[in-house]
Amino acid sequence: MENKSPAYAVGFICGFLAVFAIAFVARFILVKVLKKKKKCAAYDERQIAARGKAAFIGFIALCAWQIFSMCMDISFGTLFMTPALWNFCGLLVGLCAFVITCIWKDAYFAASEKKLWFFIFTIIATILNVLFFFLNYGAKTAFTSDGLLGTPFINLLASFMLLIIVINLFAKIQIDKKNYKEQ
Amino acid sequence: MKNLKLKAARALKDMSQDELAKKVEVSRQTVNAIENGDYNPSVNLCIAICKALGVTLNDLFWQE
Repeated sequence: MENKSPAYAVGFICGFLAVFAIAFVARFILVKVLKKKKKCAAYDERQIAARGKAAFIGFIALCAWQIFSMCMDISFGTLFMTPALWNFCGLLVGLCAFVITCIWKDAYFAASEKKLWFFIFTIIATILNVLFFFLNYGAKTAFTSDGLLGTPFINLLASFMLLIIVINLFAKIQIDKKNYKEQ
Repeated sequence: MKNLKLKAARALKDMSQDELAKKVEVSRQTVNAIENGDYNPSVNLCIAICKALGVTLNDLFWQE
C-alpha cells in the first residue's frame, strides 16, 4: 500500500470539503433564485412518498453492497480493487437503485413529458466518463502496484451506472407513450 | 382496486387526466395512479378532486 504524506492527506480532505461547501452554497443560491423567479418545481404528495420509498430502496442496496463486500473479503481475501473504488461502487449502487426507482415511480417528473434534457444530460455524462477513463488508462494509472483496480475505474463504473439509468429511462418513456395512447 | 367511480365522474365532466391533474395541482401520473388503485390519496387531495368534479367524497371514495 502506498503511503501518503500527512500534508497530502490534509490537502485531500480540505479539497474534498471545499467541493462539498461550494456545492452546498451553489445549491442554496440556485434554489433561492429559482424560488424568486417561481421556477421551482412543486411536487405532489405521491411524488414525495415515491421519493421516500426510492431512498429506502437505495439504502437497502447500499447495505446489500456492504454485506456483499464483507462476503467477498472473507471468501477471497481481496476486493480486486482499492478500498476507495470499492466504497465508491457501493455509493453508485445505492444511487443507481434510488434513481431507477424514481424513474419508474415518476417521483420527480414523468419521463415522457418534455424532459429530453435529462436524457441528453445522462448520455453526455456517460460519454464524458468513458472518455476520461480512456485518458487515464492511456496515462497508465488505471491499476495500482498491487494489481488492484485503481481510482480511474471510477469513471468507467460511473458510465456503466449512467448507461443503466439511460436504458431504464428509455424503457419508461416508451411504456409511458404506449399507456398514454391507450388512454 | 381500481377507482372506476373517479374515472366515470371525470368522463362525465368530459375532463382528461391532465386537466383534472392541473385543477387539483398534482401530476397526471398521480391521477392515473389513483384511478388504477396504485395510490391512496390523502384526505386533502380527495377533497380537492371532489371539488374539481363537483361530487361528494362518498360518491367517489366510499366503498360498499
